[in-house]
Amino acid sequence: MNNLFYSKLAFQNLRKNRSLYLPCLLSGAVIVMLFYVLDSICVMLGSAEMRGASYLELILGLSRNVCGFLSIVILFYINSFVMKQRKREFGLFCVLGMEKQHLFRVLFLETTMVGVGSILLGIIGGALFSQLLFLVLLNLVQYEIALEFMVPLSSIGLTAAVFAAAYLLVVLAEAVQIIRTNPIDLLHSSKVGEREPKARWLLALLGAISLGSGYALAIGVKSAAEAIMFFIVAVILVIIGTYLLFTAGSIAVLKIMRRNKSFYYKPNNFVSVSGMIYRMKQNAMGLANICILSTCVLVTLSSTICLYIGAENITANRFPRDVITNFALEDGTEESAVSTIENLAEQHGLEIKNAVKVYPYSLLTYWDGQHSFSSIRSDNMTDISHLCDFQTLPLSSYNEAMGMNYQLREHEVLLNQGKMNLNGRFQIDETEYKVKGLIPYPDFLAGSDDGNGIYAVMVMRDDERQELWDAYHKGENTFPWFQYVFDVDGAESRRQVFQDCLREALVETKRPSGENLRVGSVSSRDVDRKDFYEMFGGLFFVGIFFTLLFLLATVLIVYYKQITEGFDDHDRFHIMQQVGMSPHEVKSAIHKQVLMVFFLPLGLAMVHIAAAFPALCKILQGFQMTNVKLFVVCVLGTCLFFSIVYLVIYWLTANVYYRLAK
Amino acid sequence: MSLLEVRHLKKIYTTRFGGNQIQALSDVNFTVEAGEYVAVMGESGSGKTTLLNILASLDKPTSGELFLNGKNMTSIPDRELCAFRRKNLGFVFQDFNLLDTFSLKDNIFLPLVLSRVKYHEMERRLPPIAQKLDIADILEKYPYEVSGGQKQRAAVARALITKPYLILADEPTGALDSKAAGRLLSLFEQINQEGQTIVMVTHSTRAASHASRVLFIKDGEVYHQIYRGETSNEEMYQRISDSLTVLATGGMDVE
Repeated sequence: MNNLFYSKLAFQNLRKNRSLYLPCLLSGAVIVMLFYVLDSICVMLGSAEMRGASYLELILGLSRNVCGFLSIVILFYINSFVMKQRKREFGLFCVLGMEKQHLFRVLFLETTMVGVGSILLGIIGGALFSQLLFLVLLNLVQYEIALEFMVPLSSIGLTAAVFAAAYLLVVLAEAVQIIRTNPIDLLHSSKVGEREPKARWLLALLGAISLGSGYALAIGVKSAAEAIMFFIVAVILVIIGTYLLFTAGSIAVLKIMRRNKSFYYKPNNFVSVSGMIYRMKQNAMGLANICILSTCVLVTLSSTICLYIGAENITANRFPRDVITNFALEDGTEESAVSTIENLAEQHGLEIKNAVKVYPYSLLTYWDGQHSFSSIRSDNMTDISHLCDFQTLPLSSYNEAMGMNYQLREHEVLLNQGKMNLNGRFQIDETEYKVKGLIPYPDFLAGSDDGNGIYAVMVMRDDERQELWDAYHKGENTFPWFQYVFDVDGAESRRQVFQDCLREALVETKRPSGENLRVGSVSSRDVDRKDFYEMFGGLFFVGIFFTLLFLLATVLIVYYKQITEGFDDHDRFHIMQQVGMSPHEVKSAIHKQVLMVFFLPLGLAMVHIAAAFPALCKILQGFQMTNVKLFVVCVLGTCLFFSIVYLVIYWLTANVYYRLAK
Repeated sequence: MSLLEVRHLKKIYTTRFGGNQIQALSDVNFTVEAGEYVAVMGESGSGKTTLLNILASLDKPTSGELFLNGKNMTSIPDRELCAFRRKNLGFVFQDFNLLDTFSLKDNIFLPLVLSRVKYHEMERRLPPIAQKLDIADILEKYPYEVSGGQKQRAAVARALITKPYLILADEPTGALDSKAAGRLLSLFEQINQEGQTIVMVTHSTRAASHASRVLFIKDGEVYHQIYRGETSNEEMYQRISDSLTVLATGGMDVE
């Protein structure tokens, strides 16, 4: 009987506070669902035994763990909001004669109801959606396997266990809160006049410096390597800067505004500025969180989308032909390799096309910025932004590949100078070269003109190239490379088999001298593309998941912020109307404030993205994604999408707010 | 012409679902001359607050007319009403209604800022009022930093700074201790002697005893009124007290 009373009370409390608890329940359900889906997809992948699935499983497993952790953080966040709103009510219960243990009992029941509801809804929703999402994933990574409906019990178990534990933690946190406060405080907690925040100029300045240096780092990077090295540092600086600016900087700025009398004592500014000072005190952390989460969403989504869409581009860039084979160049290597490849192709009913014999020899040099290059030995590694990759090609093979008949005199070269402008002559170590003509980037070389660092391609006389090789490698136990690149024409399935057994066939090939071929890498565009889609499809999928999670967190923060604000502003509204502000004026003043508060983080997030853009471009170049235009489109698209979602969230929650504030 | 003229004021509240009608004011008539200090008394539920809300143009009467300085307030369109209220009326409330987000000074400036008065003009108007109300030292403080009496004096300053025709006070001493209340009442008297018209709604006999005239409201009508004439505050107190007793016991023939 007594038990029933408490559960009844708990249930009624939930119903009465449904504007607080419904979002709590729904978001809990979505969080549980995301977790369940990730886990069940891991299980399904495992059971499907696909090629390369282990890698995907790894990514998904990892993100499931991160997702689980973030979920718990979000649950705590929601709960602290709800508790804050209900403090007065608890105080009233206390005054009406409930002891703390009874209060705790009610809270425990409430949380249990919400928790059980979320977990049930989440798992049911997850079971329904996991199939769809699995299909999406398979589509993204371009796998073709038969799909069977599956609700892995282990996933249900794990999800239920993880979130039961999470809600238990939440209950414990509530218990601690109840024990630590006394009922009269609870009753008056929202009535205490809030002290005006002090302007902490030093912190504000520190925030500006931190943000500025983070930006400077991100904007200043010159190469992918540098970008990856400094990006984490820049991110940390920007995060620190964001927090400091929101907490201290905003208040400092507002106080400066207030000191400007002729600005401050205007109807609109007067109310907004003073209101904002308090709002920022209460909301700075939340807003900084929103800002950082939004930035995460924007970065994750735009870069994974960009990589995914750019996949064809990237593989085309890495693979000038369908297949690239590499060998150490010894006596008879070319003939044996080519004949093995052609025989194998014939066996599979395929045709080799556009084959080119390439003799790549790339010289890593240090460019002085004008006309002089010095070869790099391990001892003079210096500033990586001045490294120049000199690809040298022998004239005979270039002529053969291009079907040309160029002639070169002594120390004359054909040159593709990339981004440099050498004005017809240059020097490598002691040797002077004269540029006979400029050539386009050879289409049979991988990693073409991608703007990724400094490079040059020079075609030189065969004998001079040999001299160059000898000069740098005489006496070393190394071989020059021979590369054979070609397209394969024929049915897809046969090509697949051909590519699968190519390497083995090559390794077993004997040269005329009786020794085996020394085979370097053998890779094909098809395989590369598969790997690529697997990796970036997987990342994209995970990106979508995290976007959902971050969006959810953002929605919740905005929603609960609006509710708290609404309650707080109710009195202020009332007073201002009595003092002679029309309801319309009050509404527009408050509207302006709320708008400012909620669009500040979004605005700053976009500034962050803009500042991070050069560095992100460089990082993407590291993945050989060099299409800057595509990335710009992706970033803008994501920003637009996110702004629209944000606007919708804002609009929906603003209505709740006005209802409360009126 | 009277400063304030109230004719046949009637206010009927309809409950939300239209079922019950509650008559808060049935037929209120009175006038206030410029420079008067009028207290309105009555029991809870007598319609005092409704009357004040209507005088303050925060609420609209169901029927009847209300003239301030010859202008019919019931005919002013909504969008001009706020500006009208800001310019012509000053308010003092029981719970001060100061905004926590403003310093006392900014709270006092609020109505002027809303009327787009220039800053140096506000600066010019403040010192004499602050001096008179003895809050010059605490102008930079925030409402939660000062005592109830100080808050209420700041609220009075806020009401005075617009130089309104009429000050409406709703239980101004209600939330004050007796010392602070006494101080506020003598301030009101002083302000009134300087020519400010005041209408004050109150429960407190003591507060009302400072007024030059006391109106008693019962069941939505002006039931009775007392003029001070030459009587002292103490005698006035006695007379109000007597009237209230009669009012409460339901006697019909006094005076």
